[in-house]
Amino acid sequence: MELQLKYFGRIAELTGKSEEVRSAAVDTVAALNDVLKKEYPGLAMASYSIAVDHEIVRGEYPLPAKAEVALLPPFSGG
Amino acid sequence: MERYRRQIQLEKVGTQGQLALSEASVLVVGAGGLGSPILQYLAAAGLGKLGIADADTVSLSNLHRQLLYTTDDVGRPKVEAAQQRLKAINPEVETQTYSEGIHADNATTVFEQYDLIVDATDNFQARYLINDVCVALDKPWIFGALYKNEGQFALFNYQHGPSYRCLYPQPPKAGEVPSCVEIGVLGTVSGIIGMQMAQLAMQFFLWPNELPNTFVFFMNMKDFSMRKMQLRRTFDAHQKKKDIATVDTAALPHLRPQELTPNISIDQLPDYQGADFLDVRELDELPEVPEVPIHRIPLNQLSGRFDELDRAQTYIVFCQGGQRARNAVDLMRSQGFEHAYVLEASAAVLKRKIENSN
Repeated sequence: MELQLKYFGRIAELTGKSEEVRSAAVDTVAALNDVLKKEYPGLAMASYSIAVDHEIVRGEYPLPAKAEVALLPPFSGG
Repeated sequence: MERYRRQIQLEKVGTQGQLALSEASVLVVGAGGLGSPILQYLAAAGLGKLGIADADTVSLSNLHRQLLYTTDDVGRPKVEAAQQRLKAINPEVETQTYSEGIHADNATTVFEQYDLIVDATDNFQARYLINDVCVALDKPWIFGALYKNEGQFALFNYQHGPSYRCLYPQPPKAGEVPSCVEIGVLGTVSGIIGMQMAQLAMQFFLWPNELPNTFVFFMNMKDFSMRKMQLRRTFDAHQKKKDIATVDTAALPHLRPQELTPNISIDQLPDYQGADFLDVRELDELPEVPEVPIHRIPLNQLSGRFDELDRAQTYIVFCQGGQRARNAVDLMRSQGFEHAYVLEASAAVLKRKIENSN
């Protein structure tokens, strides 16, 4: 399945890029997250929420084909 | 009404809209990079009552982004300087100051007196406290936060909409997410996010039935893009009320008046001759302070490296802006280091002090 990944804030620094297109044999957000954590070990220590096609979702949410998946860390500054 | 003529004449505002603004009350928690533009614009627009909560004083390094203050205000309590400036901007606005800031002991009493709460703070302890108290009181609040050239903002807990815990159920670990004090920020970036929050606050009173209360916005100021993410209410109010009952005020040290944080000033150093220094900055941060016995453990590694330190020893902890040192001392004291103190000075000031005394 081809996915469009978007990285925000500190996550973009941990992955070294702000977006990428990736093929992954996964069908849930949780499974994709596991794949990404293997690829980018820094993610294991980071907090973030995940949006699929502009909607914040949780773990077992099914991934539609060609979904846009965004990794959204909390920001602190003010 | 001449003062407000240009906004009254706007379609869908009118005298009714102006009346709604003049009867509105907003509490702005944090009068810094976000709070400064929010307060300025809400005062100019003729809000009825503005609460200003902040325990800090104005420092020179605030001025590039906190245009509420002038060079003459450096050293003054922020709430005092802000109140004076807002009165000059618009004497028709009532202002109320909270010089202790907002903490677990006063949040409920203060929040009850306002229609809308604005979180313009720079730390997660305050943000989760504001969230949880607002949910308990069924009070809407506006959120905003920054990271380098990016920002987030949202209207939470409005008409059964989601809250911050629906986006991030639990706070990140201490030291995981740096603040503007630690990594820096452009004044224009905090200004833009502050203005988005002020716009939400204006619309809250002008057009209460057309609000984006189920979205969180992510803006990137560097590539001029904005994304709007749909958010559902996943933490129900009952659950959150239980969470609030278990909020441990001792775990919220930054919400207390600052003098309660165990700290020492640079001039008190001679009283702590046997103490070790602990530098909790990242290893590549400058300047180095090499001339004294020193431990260098970045804050995000500290919890895994306590065995390198001695609980009977006195530690004077420093960083660049002070926030990481405060987090480190909180963490150490919770782990039995009873003689850990925050140095109320940056690494650069400490280096100069040591060099001058040699």
